[in-house]
Amino acid sequence: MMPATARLMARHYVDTVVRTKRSVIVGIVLGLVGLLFVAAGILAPGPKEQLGLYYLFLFSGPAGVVLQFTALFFGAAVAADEVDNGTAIYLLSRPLSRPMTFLGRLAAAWVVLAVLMSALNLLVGLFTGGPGHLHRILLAEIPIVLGCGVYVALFALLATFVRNALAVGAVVSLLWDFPLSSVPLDLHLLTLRYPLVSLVRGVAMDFEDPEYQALWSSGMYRVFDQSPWTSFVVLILVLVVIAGVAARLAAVRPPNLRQT
Amino acid sequence: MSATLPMPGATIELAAAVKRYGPILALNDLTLSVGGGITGLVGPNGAGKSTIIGLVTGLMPPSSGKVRVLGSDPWTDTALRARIGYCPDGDRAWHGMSGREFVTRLGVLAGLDPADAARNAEDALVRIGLSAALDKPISQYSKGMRQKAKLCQAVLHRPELLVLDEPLNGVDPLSRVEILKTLREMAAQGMAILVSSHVLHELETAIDRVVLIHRGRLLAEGTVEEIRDLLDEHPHAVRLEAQEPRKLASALLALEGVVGVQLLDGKTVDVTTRDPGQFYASLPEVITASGFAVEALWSPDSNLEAVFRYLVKGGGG
Repeated sequence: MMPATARLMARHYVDTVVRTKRSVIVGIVLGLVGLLFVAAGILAPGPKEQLGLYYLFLFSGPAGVVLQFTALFFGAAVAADEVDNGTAIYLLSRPLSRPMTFLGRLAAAWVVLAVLMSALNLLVGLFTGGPGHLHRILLAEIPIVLGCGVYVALFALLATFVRNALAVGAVVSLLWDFPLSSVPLDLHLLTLRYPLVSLVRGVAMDFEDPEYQALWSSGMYRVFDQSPWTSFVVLILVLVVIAGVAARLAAVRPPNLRQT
Repeated sequence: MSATLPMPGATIELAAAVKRYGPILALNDLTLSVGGGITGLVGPNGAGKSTIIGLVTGLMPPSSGKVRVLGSDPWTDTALRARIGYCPDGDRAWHGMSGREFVTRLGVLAGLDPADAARNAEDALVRIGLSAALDKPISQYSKGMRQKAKLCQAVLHRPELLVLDEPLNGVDPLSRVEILKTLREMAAQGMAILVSSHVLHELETAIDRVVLIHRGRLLAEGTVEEIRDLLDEHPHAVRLEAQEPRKLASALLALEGVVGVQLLDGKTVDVTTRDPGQFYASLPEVITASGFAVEALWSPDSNLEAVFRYLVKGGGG
């Protein structure tokens, strides 16, 4: 069970971060992405093209730019929002465990993002891959949920020691996670996208199809050949380590005593 | 330096407390003991008041030395923070919340049952005069209303120690009177209160003791009367504007305690006195007897900075 402090802080995160205009804008952007894929799926000439669209969605959405930037928004808010607007001192002066205060907010951010991305996957999957691929669509929820946790934790960690975590997080994503996951050297092993894409590939893609086999054996996708179980374990470990380090850092981070 | 607690059993004890922010020394070997009643923590901006408050409320640890509040370390003892109420400076609040939501939420986070927190929040907000604004967003509150809501959240869980950082800053005169009256009532019920300000006179009607802080060091401490006497030893400057400044200057020079008079221009006179109390008492009589029209009067020393500079130079304690 979640400790009482973490539960309180999870609820507080939902009230102060999720119920804001900024979050509504993020929700609208996600909705537009979903509608775009749904429309493309409806207009696609055949089942093969529809399934191709779903795979494109998996790599650009849950395992790509959409997940990373949505996670950046919710993850940075875990550690930065209350400090930036000066309200962190209300929380820190309460009889609450500081690591639990952080972890409760992190859990809330993870759940909110996972619900959004899972719903998006289901919507797009049913309108592109089609109900015949429901088992693949549902299996894809595993890496989606895990990826949400890992990226939210990464950006929350970043926000514990840098100012303007949104900008720095965007740079980290664009300069590190995306390019490195595409290079043919072993540098891709240092990214979070590598095990995530490998897991998506392992649980949700159809390797019976020679066309997709050809895709995976060539070019940028060749590197994502890790087994799903290895990727799963790596992602879990990374999540635990990042969340633990971030909670420790957040607990000793000095508050903003003078409001600016 | 060894950190021996100055007065074990006091509400707040700092022993050789040092706090650094990188290269900046915010608190310099501060040893201090605060008991019950209302204590004013007074010093100019940047003196270290908010740092002391941060240490006392457990927001941060000292770089070295000891801090004890109600007998325990506020940085490491999470449960202790339920016995402390904290009202921070500025306009900090979740501005989308109503006053009722804000105070209730912080009551719950302080450990109250949600139903009790909601009931107590409404009672406290009504008692402090915010009944008409209970469900208004805090963003629509005036500065005085926000301070009152912040005060309510700090006392909702009935703490043994209440810490307020510049609670009167920017607050209108009526709200000041109400806030100070509320503090006196709470102190009368046994709550120890530490309240900071950079202006002594705005607190002096309400506080029992004063702690003067300057550049991270303890400059003086004592009752309001003792500190007032100490400050009065500092030559006090008063500036007056009058139609006949030369005649006014010569009349003022005859007053007891006046040690200097300077004509600045065709209208302005600067008077220096060692006995401001006597000076202000005699001034109306001088003006009435001589018939001089004094158009303006103010004290360039109203900012404590000048007094602190004087005390630091060794003119005082």
